[in-house]
Amino acid sequence: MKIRMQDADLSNDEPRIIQKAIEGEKQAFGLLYEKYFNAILRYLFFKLSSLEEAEDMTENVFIKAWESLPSFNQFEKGLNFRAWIYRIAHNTLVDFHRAHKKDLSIDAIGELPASTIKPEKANEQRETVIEITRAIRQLDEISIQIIMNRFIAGMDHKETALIMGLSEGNVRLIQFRALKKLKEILGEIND
Amino acid sequence: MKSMIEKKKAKIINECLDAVIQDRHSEEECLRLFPELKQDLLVAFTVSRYLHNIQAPQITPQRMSQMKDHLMFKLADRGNSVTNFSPFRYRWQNIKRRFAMTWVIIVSTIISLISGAGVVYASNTALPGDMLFPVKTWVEDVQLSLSPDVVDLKLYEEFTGHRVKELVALADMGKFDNIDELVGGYQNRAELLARLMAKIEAKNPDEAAKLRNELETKLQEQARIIEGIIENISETADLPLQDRLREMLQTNTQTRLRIQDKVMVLGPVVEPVETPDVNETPEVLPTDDAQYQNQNRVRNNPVEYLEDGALKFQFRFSQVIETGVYAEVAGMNYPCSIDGAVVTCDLTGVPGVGKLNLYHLNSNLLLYSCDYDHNYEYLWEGTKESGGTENQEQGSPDSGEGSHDNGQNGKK
Repeated sequence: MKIRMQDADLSNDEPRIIQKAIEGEKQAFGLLYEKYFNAILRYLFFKLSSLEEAEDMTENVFIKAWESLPSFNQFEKGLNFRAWIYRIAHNTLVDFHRAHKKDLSIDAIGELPASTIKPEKANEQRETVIEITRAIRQLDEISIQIIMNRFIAGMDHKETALIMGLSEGNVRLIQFRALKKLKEILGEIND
Repeated sequence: MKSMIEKKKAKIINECLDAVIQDRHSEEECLRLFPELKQDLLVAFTVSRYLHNIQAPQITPQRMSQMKDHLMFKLADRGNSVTNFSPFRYRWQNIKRRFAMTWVIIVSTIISLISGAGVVYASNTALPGDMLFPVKTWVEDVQLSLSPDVVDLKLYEEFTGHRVKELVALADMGKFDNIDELVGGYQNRAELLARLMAKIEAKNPDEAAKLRNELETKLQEQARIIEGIIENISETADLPLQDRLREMLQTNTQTRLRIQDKVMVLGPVVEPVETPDVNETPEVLPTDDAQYQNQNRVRNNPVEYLEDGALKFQFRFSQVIETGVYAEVAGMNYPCSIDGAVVTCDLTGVPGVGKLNLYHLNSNLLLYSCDYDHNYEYLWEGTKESGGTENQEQGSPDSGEGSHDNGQNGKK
């Protein structure tokens, strides 16, 4: 029996919608697309610094997801859909940067356009954001990725670990060392 | 000891960060609980707070809806491959596969017992049409069923190689009665190879990158052999046979493109509209260097236009094109028509940005290659167009580095 998509509540019914998408219902996949589109676009944008590239890659990520969905339950034990699609995005990105021989994310984070800062906070925060992003650029690639995944993409450390193929403990440790280095670069911060 | 302390601090900071982000605790509470980590926590909170305030450019609902429509159009149907839902479907499929493979093993074993292991061994040299040929493909299936993905990939490559060797043997004997079986077998293995590569790609891009070059080399060798045979038989063989072999060559090209560009073929391949004239001499290509070809063969930039809703790209070559040409974008083939030196390709449905290759229909030789952007501007290989002005920037970083590494080099 076909699911009536207009009645589907994605927040409560995601497993069933995923299952329908696995079975080949494009409409169900469309709902997943709507839910995760912004998150994936945002994740890619900050690592590509080009909206056009991020849009194209977002589409590729969802195409890959559609193609790989039948193996979602089978091979991806322990991953929820969100983490799974982030991992596809991460892999696509790694591949893109390798093909274009670019360093992952360093350019993107260092040159954030002013428009990316919320307007109401623009004046007071722009300088700080620029200072922080400059400091982040001095970190190694994995640290940058972890910082970006945790603080820009809003992933928790478990998701970050799953997506990057690291252990949770490793993610915590790399994050700790990265923050320590940022502390050295930024100097003492007063509360 | 130091490492233990570091791990403990890392854990505390992480938990504090998560608690603050999820509004379970305030920053002050964390600072109060762990005063010895005050500076570390302050940096963590500051970085977290400021980075959270960065927002990506907003996509309008209209744009998102447009993108969704575009995506939905591109999604391949999967209705037949995944049908009736059952929570145990995957497990059942595995069991079925395992039993199927077990059956193959049993049959192979029975054949070995009845006829002696020599039969299985003898099947190694069997050709399509031979009684032992099915045993040979069974043995291949058994090997595949017993190995992990990465090994499977090498086996698929090896088995496509088997089909090519069989083709050589058949050509030596001038016996092509069972060519369909052979070409079908080649297409089957090549398709599975490309799909498996896509799967490995999605799961482990590093591993895929390592495998890609090796596969490309092997597949290129196969392409050369198939091309050689097509050339040798072109004067004597009938057209259907030539068509089948060209199909085999096209499968090879498609597989290489899919592997190299990591693009999945999402729909049926559109057959080129031009009917190849097998007696025509292929266009002489002075070099494999696409940049050289581009500069010498296409006189100016392609013209892009819409005709009855179809997206057309028109190329003006420096000489009359007498043979069939087809375009390839992202692993899909598109038909082209020829009028003297003008080639017009119907590229309806291509992605907004990508790489376009023009191939000679008979030999699959690359005629022309460029990056296109039909939303914005063209970025030419060896030539960069900016604001309508064409600048020669040969050898510059903008000249399309790597954009011709799609496996067509050295294909002749």
